[in-house]
Formats: sequence, structure tokens, C-alpha cells
Amino acid sequence: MWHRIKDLWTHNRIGFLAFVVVLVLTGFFGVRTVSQSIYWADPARQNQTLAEWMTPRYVAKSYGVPPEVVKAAWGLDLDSPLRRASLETIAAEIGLPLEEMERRVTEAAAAWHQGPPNE
Amino acid sequence: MNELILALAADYGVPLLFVVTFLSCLALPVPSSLLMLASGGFAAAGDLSLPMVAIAAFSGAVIGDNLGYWIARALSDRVQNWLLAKPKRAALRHKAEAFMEKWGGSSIFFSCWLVAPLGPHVNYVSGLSRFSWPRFALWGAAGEVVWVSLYVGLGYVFADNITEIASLLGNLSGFLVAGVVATGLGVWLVRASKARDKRKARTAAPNVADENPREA
Repeated sequence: MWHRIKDLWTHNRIGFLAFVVVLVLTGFFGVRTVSQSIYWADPARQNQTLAEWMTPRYVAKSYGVPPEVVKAAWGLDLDSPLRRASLETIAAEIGLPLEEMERRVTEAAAAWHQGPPNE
Repeated sequence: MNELILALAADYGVPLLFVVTFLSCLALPVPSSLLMLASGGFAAAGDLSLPMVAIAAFSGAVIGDNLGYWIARALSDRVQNWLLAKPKRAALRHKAEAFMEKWGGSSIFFSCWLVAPLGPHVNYVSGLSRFSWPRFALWGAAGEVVWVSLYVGLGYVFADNITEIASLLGNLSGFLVAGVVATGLGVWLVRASKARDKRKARTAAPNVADENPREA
């Protein structure tokens, strides 16, 4: 083993260094994959933050609510169906930053999941 | 780059997915896996049609693979003389041919999905070494079926949290690719080192005059 490493170091240094780098990368990605699976397994951490690429319908699906809840939360026209547009576009249209949209949809989803208030 | 292309997904949907999987199979750095996951998620949410998403991703990938193969194959005709001019280059070419003859099918199949970042390069090697096109096309299409089903399927099933699943798959794919490259490099280095040992043992034998090994 030691002899082999010495031989590679003298005759094939670049190849040997490349091998070491790739080996380190393998370990790095391996550890990240495992730690992330463990982290993600905790249901408390499964609330997805909104991103510009998402669509309103996708947000509704992700938060487990009907599209109407999302529409109401953002003050969109309740009569027209949700169209396929990115949140970036929607945010510009309704003049709300993404953080505020997320706050509203989180609140609305929590209320919806609690069920209608008993009167 | 990733954010930019993903931001276009809502507006351009299925055609964008076709273009991106096509380009990624030619080794262009576009986030095809991420876009397939997102498109699967959009399909689950009802923004896109799942069959259309699958067809677009699959046809983009297959057309890209085959174009890459034929570009390399056309090049191989042109550089034929150049490749065979020097014994070292010719040896490399013969090695590539022998490797593809033995492992071609499975290399093509697995590089399409399990170690997808290596896929385009395997396509180019297949074309350069003039690997049989029907075999290439068949194994490639089979691999792309798995690739597309896997990523679009995971996007569809785990639509609730694409961001997480994307980064998890990114790490897993990095692990697999680095692992495969490390194994390949390791095998090659050890073989080269063992060959040096053999040569040394031979030159250490009676005929000391022959210091420079001829086949180096």
C-alpha cells in the first residue's frame, strides 16, 4: 500500500492528486446526503419557503390547501381561475414582496387546516 | 443559471423542458434534473400535463443523446488519421473501443440516469469509438426512460417540497458521480503502478542494458 502510494506520487502525481480530490468529494457529498435525509425526516421542517419560480397552484399543493385559499390570501380575483404564472410575476402584479406573500399564505393555510370556526 | 432557468419554467413549461433536457444531453450546464422535478411538481399541482412533461423530457433527452453520438462519430471519421498517426493515440483509441465493446451497453444505460452528469461524455466516447448505433440508441432510450420517470416521478410524488428533494438528489448524484470517477481513477492508477513494477522487475533481470522500457 505504502509502496503503491510512493510509486504513484513519483510517477503519476497529477493522477494521484486528482484521485484524492475526487475521494474527498465523494465523502463530502455522501455526508451531505445522509445528514440532509436525517434533517428532512423531521416533519416540523417540511414547510417550504416560497421561491420565485413557483406557481400559485403549486403553492396551494405544497401547503395542502385548495387554490381558493391562496387566491384569497393574496387578494387575487376569486372568479377567474389561477393561471400558470411565476410568483415573480404575481408579486409584481399585486405589489407584495415574496416574504409577505409567504406570511399570508402560511396564515391562511393554518386557518384552513384548523377548519371553519364553529359558530 | 439554475435560478434563471427555473424562473422560466412557469411561463414556458413543456417546450422549455424539451430544450433543457436536449441541451443537457450535449453536456451544456443546464439544470435538467431540477427542471424535471419542478415540472413534475407543476403537473401534480395541475399546471402542466404529466404525459406532456414526460414526453417532452424524454424526447429532448433522446434527441440530444443521438445528436451527441453522431457529432462525435462524424468527428471520428475526420480525426481518424490523426488518431492513428501516433502509437500512443492509437492505443488509447483501441482501449476505448475495447472498453465499449465490453461495457458499452451498461455504460450507456447507467450514464443516462444513475450518473447522469457523465452521460453526455459517454455519448461522445460512443460516437468516437464508432460503437454500434442501434445498440447505443436502444440502451440510451432505455436509460432515458428511467431518468425521466425517476425525476419527473419524484417531482410529482414529492410535489410538496421540490426544493428539498432537489438538493437531496443533487447531493446524492454528486456522491455517485464522484464515487464512480474515484473508482475509475483508482483502478487506472493501480494498474499503471503495477505495470511499472513489472517493468522494473524485468529491467532488474540480467539484461541491465535495456533501461528504457520500450512499450512506455
